[in-house]
Amino acid sequence: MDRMKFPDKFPYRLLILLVLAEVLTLCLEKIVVLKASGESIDFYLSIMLKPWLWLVLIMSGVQLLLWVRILKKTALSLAYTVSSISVPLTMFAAWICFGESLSWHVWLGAFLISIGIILIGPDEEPGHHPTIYEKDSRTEGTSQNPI
Amino acid sequence: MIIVQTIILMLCIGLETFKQVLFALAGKNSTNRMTLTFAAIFTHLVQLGLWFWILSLIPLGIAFPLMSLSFVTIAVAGKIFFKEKLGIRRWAATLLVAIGTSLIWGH
Repeated sequence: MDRMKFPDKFPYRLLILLVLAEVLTLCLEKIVVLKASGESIDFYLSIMLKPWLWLVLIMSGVQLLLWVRILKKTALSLAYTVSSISVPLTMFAAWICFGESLSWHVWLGAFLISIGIILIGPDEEPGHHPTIYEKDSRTEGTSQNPI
Repeated sequence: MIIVQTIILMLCIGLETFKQVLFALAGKNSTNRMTLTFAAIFTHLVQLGLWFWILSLIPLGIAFPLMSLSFVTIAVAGKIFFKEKLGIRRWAATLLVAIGTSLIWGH
């Protein structure tokens, strides 16, 4: 019955780490592309020769491990919903770090998308179906990860 | 040019969905777990290649929100492959994400 009190068990720290890792990875991917040069095959060759690519791959692995740990502690749909914060955060990062100017259309669109993702969110009201917090992450299966 | 970007982005969203289905199968199927996980990781690498291509064409602040469309395709894939239920709330959510995406894309 302890599991019904999910706020105690909810892995806030892991989720914050996951979101930060995700935004950092996207910024690294952007840097990879900014550092690359050439067209088609030359473009990919120049990417593969840069150490930034290895950082991206390492961060992808870190995200996967964080995600597996989070899924052991909470329901997938809830974790997925919370991780959608990375959409506006990434847009802020793109704005601040890379000086991308985003019009209000884009911000409004992102706002609607975030609300939509939150709506897709948790399967049931917590407490009505406490079993969703008792499932083993393996049997739950749908280990979607937002990498 | 906009057609090329749309096609690559759609491919990326498709691969993302395929990867999630593979991960979900790996979670449910204990005998082929390793094979499925490796297939998922391979899919991720292919997707990463396409993603770099997109980032060289459109800004990150626009490309990443557009990838959110994969939340919708994954929900639909869950319905088709794993018989997960999509209620009115989820269809409404899908519509919202679609509207948000088209707002960004239209821009």
